[in-house]
Amino acid sequence: MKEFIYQTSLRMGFTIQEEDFEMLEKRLEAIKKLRNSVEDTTLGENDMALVNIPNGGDFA
Amino acid sequence: MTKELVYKSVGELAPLLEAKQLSPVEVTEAVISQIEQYNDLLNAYLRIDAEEARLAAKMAETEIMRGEYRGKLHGIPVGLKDIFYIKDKVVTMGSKIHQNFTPAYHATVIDKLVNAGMVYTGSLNMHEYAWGGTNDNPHFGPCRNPWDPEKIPGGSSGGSAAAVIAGLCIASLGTDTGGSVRIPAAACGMVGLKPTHGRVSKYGVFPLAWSLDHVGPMTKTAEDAAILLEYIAGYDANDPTTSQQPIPSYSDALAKDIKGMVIGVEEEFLKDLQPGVEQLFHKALKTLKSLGAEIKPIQIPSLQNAHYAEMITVLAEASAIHHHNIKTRPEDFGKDVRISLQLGELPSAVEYVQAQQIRHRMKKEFQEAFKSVDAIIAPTLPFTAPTIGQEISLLNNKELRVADELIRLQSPANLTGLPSISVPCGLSDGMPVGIQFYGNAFNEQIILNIAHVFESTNPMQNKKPQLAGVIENV
Repeated sequence: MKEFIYQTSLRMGFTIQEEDFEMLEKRLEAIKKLRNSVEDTTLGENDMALVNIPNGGDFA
Repeated sequence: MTKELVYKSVGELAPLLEAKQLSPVEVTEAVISQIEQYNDLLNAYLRIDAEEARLAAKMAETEIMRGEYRGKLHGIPVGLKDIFYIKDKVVTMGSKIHQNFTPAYHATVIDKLVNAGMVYTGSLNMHEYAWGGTNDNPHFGPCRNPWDPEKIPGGSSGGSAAAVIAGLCIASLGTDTGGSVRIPAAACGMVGLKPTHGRVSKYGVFPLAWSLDHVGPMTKTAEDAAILLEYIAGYDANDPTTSQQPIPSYSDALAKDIKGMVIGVEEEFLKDLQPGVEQLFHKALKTLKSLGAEIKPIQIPSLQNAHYAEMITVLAEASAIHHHNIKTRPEDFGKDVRISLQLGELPSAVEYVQAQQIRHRMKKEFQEAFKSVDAIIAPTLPFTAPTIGQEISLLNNKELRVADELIRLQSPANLTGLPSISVPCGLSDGMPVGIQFYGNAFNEQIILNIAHVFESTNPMQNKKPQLAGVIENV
């Protein structure tokens, strides 16, 4: 995990202070756990990825 | 009388101001006096514009005396979260990086409030860049909860909530990306409304995450939220996400009862609650039934993915906004925001796209639910306001991260763009608890009315924060 964080920071061009690594790892781990529920969900081609929600989400 | 004025709502003050029985100068002086007395304790204001407020109040008084009453906000002291662009004023977003930022124009909502004749009292504390729910600000100090200064007021619009409920202004506006209007409203015992995405312009409001951001009223009552929304709602050519949908009279909608209304309950919203919150939630259900509403179980399966979708979306969008500064001056961010911004650089593009797919599915499921219900009820927060600096909360024998729990029950409204209002439902161990009503898109009038009718049962029993005897119970 630490290596992934480090390599991504190099690619994206930011520097992580040593003291921040532990917290970053913990929080990334938490997101990974949340993701488990998504892996179990079947997202199909009809579940469109609307990056922005225009006008309240086309509900009108 | 002077002291009591600061605890009054817009709805109570406006008729007195219109009838010239009360002067805006009198109200403003009472508010300034309250600020002088309690702001050191609460740290709600980052900047107090007392002299400008006095001038604006005098001008409002002159206009009203000349018979030029502009409407219900004319002469009302309003403090604003330090995220709304105000021309020629320093707007910090609660940050060090923007400590000298002076916009050259007003945000659209500021233009609207100025035209309505508000008396601007100053800028209010917030979580740095709105990226967090505690308002524990490393650059300006934590804002404190008027019910217990050791507790957080919630965030990110914590200064707005603390100021309104403690009488340091009469009403306010906040921004809400994952609950930042409703979290502090619930934690401080007041009303917070996140309108439908596109109902209120965000032009001139510094973004946290574009697709999730909203602007909404923070007020003492549902009536005041309706009044403020009437002023700030509407299409704005400068904000392409705004809607041309007609704006109903939200105030007029409050006259209705809720007999026969169907209110949905989704079990997912009732997981891992503090016992006191759970108790008050069920008491609120009973109250709503006694008022004639029908309570109906509903299912929105994608709610189980809501927290993931919210986190991925806000992390990615916020990090895109701050990418340059996180590369070049990370030390100028507070630690929690710095870590969140670095974290937002890590998820993959696939994760972001899938988060948007989840949002789309969730919208469809909410749409389906709203075919059979008028509103959906949920607790606003799973707990009462945590202590400042507290990182973990024990809920249902689980150690859960406070920062995550603050947004868990609210983010579905941001993900879907649906309106949601938080209203107080009582006190648990002396701290306020809120419930929220989700509504269908552009149906703010329905949830405002439900909140108003519920509020009329007086769930707070007229209790106000006493700050351990410092603020009087009036």
